[in-house]
Amino acid sequence: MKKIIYLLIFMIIGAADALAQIQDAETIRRRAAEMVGQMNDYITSMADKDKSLKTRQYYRKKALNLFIGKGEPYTIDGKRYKAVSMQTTSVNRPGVKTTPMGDYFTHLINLGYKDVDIKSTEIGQIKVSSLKRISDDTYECTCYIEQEFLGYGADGRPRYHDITKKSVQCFITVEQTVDEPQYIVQLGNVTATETRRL
Amino acid sequence: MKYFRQLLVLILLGASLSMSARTIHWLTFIDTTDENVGQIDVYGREILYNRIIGVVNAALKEKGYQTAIHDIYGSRFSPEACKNELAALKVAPEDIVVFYYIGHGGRSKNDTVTWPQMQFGTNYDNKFVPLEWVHRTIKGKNPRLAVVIGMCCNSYVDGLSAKTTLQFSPNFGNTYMNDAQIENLAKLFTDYKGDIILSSSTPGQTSGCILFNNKAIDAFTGCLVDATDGVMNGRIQPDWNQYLGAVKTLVSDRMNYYNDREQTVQFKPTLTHDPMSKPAAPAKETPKEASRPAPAQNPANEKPVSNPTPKQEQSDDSSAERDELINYFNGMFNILADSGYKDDERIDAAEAFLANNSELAKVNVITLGQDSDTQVGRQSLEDFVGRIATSHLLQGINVAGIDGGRIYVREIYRR
Repeated sequence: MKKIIYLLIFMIIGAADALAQIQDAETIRRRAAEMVGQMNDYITSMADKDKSLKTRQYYRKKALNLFIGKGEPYTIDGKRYKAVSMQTTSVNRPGVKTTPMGDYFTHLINLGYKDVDIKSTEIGQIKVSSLKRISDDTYECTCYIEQEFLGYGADGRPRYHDITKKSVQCFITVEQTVDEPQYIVQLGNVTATETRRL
Repeated sequence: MKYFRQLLVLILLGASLSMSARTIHWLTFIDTTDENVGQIDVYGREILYNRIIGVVNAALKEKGYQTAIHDIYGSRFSPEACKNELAALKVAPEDIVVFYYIGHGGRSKNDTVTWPQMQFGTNYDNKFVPLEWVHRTIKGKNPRLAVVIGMCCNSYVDGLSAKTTLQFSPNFGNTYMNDAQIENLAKLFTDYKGDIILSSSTPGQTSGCILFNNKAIDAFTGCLVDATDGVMNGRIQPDWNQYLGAVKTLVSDRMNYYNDREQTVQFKPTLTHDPMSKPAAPAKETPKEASRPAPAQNPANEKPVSNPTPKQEQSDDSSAERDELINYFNGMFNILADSGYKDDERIDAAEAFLANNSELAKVNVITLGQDSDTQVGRQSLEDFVGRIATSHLLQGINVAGIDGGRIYVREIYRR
């Protein structure tokens, strides 16, 4: 019993310490939601066939800047990770498909539909989990969104329409400067949790 | 600052910059160094810029307004600075001018007007600046709308002489807006012509403080934020009598409740209801770049100017240049972020700017939180410009400060 009490006390102190390091957690969570909103904006734009190919490829380049490693393998606390990835689902096939983010964006630009319309949760409505410390100077949180995909055929009629729930991993790296800490928010893996046909 | 010093001119990246005759001029004079109220006024300045100036600028962008900020605080805060800024102020017929003072003030027993004299950190009687004089001076420049606000005490000061004019010679600082909020706030500033003079207390009264988000701030500015929020969200009509009436009620109620004191805001609007239309289509022509004049020949000593504190030293030269740079980057960033331009034109403008200013590409842009100075992002200017030029979510960018190699910004998102 004593061991359990000591363990509980240790966990409470640990949690309090972790949170004490972040001075303005709410501001950082809002920033994470803004970054996810920007990702959604880029996804919508990359899929928009009304924009030129050159413009959409430019968006791809800028979108990758939102992610840790900018779409390349990255390191946290000395541990190496593969490039961030996007999970996609389809009501026409079981399971999820995981694609490196850069490749996913390329695929998005080259979708075979005549027109594509992708809508996602507005920034103000994005739910964000609390911050969790994963290393000395890195925290993590998760943003939850819904993404509606509508693809049109050559005849202008909808060929595919679904809505998917997604979780977006967000990393917050704390860097100490002369004045005060900087919290650098970057996006991580995007996982798909549920898809339904519309 | 070395890189920025070479940019003390405006590059005309957009037709709206070259063709727009509409500017909102903010002249803010805030006493952040006073030993008694300096720290309170530091917070007042932050709140004023984050919660009022930033959102008003974002709303007025829709009406074709660019922004000119004259942010006088710290060691630049002086009666001479006030006189010089007003003397140098150039106003076009469709411009809006907002003067906002936060600091000590008072009145003479012999003053015949109800408006206070602003102390501007001086102990010399002849250097107090009458709010009435500021009001007259700005009105005399014939802006479309002039709003003159003195947040200071209006109590009697022994030995202070009556004044209605200056008596010294010159020798001598995470938001999300939806379309309705933008429209409501813009209407308040563009549906009216004329002028308003306001002081935060009536003759014989002091102006007190309240807690706002658990920090002490002058009651007037705190209540002004709440009323501004009320206008944005439709609880208060975008009408100056209703808006300032709400502020007056809030200040009176809160000072009575929390401090058991009387404080009565007084204001006198002389306005006609004259809604302004949005600028015509030519404002959205392809952005063009003018030739860039030679860089400044004699750079002054560079002093970093970080986020303001009561003890922060500022040289007149470096802070005047800072204001110019802030206005320049404000203008440029807001053009690039304007999704009213075509996507490829914004991208071309961003690329042109970076190509012509390659020495700036690695300057850091620090993004601050919506309601605080927490630093929540850092990008090179190259990456920042690329991001804002490709976003369809931004209502506005506010440059909060420039500090030797870093630009601090806040991003306002459209709902």
